[in-house]
Amino acid sequence: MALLEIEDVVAGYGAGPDILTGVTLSIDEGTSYCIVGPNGAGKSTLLRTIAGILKPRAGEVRLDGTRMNGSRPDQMLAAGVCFVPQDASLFPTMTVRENLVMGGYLLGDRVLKRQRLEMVFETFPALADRKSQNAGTLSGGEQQMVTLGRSLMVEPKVVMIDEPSLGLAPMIADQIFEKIGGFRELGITVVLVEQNAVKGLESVDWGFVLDLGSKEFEGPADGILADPRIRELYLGKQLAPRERR
Amino acid sequence: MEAVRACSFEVSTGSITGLIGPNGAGKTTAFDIITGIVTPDDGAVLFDGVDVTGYMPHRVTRLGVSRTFQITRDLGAMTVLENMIVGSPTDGWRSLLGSRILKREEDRAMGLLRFVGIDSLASEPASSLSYGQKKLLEFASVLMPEPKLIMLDEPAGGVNPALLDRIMDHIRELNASGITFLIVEHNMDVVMSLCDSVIVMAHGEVLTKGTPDAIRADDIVLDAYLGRV
Repeated sequence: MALLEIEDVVAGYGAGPDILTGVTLSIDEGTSYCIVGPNGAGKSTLLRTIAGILKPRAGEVRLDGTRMNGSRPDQMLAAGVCFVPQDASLFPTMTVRENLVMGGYLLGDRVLKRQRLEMVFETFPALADRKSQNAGTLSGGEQQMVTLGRSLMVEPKVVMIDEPSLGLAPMIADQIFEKIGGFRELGITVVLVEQNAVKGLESVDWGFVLDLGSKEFEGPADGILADPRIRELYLGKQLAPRERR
Repeated sequence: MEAVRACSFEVSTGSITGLIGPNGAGKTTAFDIITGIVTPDDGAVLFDGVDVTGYMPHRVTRLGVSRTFQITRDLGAMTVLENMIVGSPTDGWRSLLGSRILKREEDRAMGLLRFVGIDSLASEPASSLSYGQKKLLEFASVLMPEPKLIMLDEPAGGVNPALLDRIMDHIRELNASGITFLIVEHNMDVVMSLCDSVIVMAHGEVLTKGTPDAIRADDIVLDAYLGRV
């Protein structure tokens, strides 16, 4: 059975139009995924809907076979689904350590928190060196490391990361993707959304291609960009014969 | 940070020119520079041969440049008609202060609302409009100053297919009457169907330009969108 199943999910914001028009996809434990697609395809909206920030207007989100529709974000997190949003959303005037500890808010137990924190510092040694520094004084890449580290605090089953490379220099982005690649050894299933389709797909096993709120196709990550449908999705097609002047 | 650097392009009179590029390419910043919202650190903006670099936005509008914004903006408590009038640069809001709208302006506004098909909503508060109707109101209000150049920032964003067809028809019709368009749009089907020429930006610079067909066939453009450039 799939770890996470998304079936015919429809979602949008407020009274606005449907951004997701019926998405179906299945996430298996231990596999890593990247969702790509042109602007406005609904990639971020899909992650937000799975995370419980948006409620599906129709369709179903299932985790381990249990229907999760209507679960709040904290309930999704407690169930093992951690969402790392696009805007790092760190507490800039709190230290790196404090930010990480906040990620373990749901743990309650202090000993457990300390153990998890040690684990995060093992995974991200650079953060250990800066644990007493205010998060707001870190570079963009370091801040992204903190958000990734923070996501590990609750020992999630699935980590969904929205645009990890956003605003980062190419070399720094490579380091981030390398770290994300390492999540697999921690037994974590990764679902990425990435504007940089090349880099995103390089670091995962399987790709989903979204367009206009639904899945166009899927396949092994290394074959996705060679598919001829990609050009049409990203660069468009002629709609109707032109009748000008 | 430099969002746009050494960026040079021309928009031909009478054209529908598309400005595309991946997220963060600097398209909206380029718009902001042209319309005087952002002053460039270096370089110049020429409109109809006039150097408008550093002009205040309302002066650029008066010269004939009108634009929409990515996020629809409206004055919700005012009526649809009043929203149209404040879009008029001449004596628009002064006449509103006097609580009366000039007949001439009202006629023009009503004519434009009729053009986009929402004249029956003229006395409704703008806040009561649907998203699509707001999009049409915004489209009508950029026409108030009788622009020579209309710059549209994502006209297709969040618009349903039926309305999109209407907006595209309006653009074609206005273009046929002599108005030049510069359009930032992520919906590539729209760009490729509507534009005579397309400028591609990436990392704040112009990557390439050409006809829609040439742009679609150009591997460097696809690479830019996929993150290879």
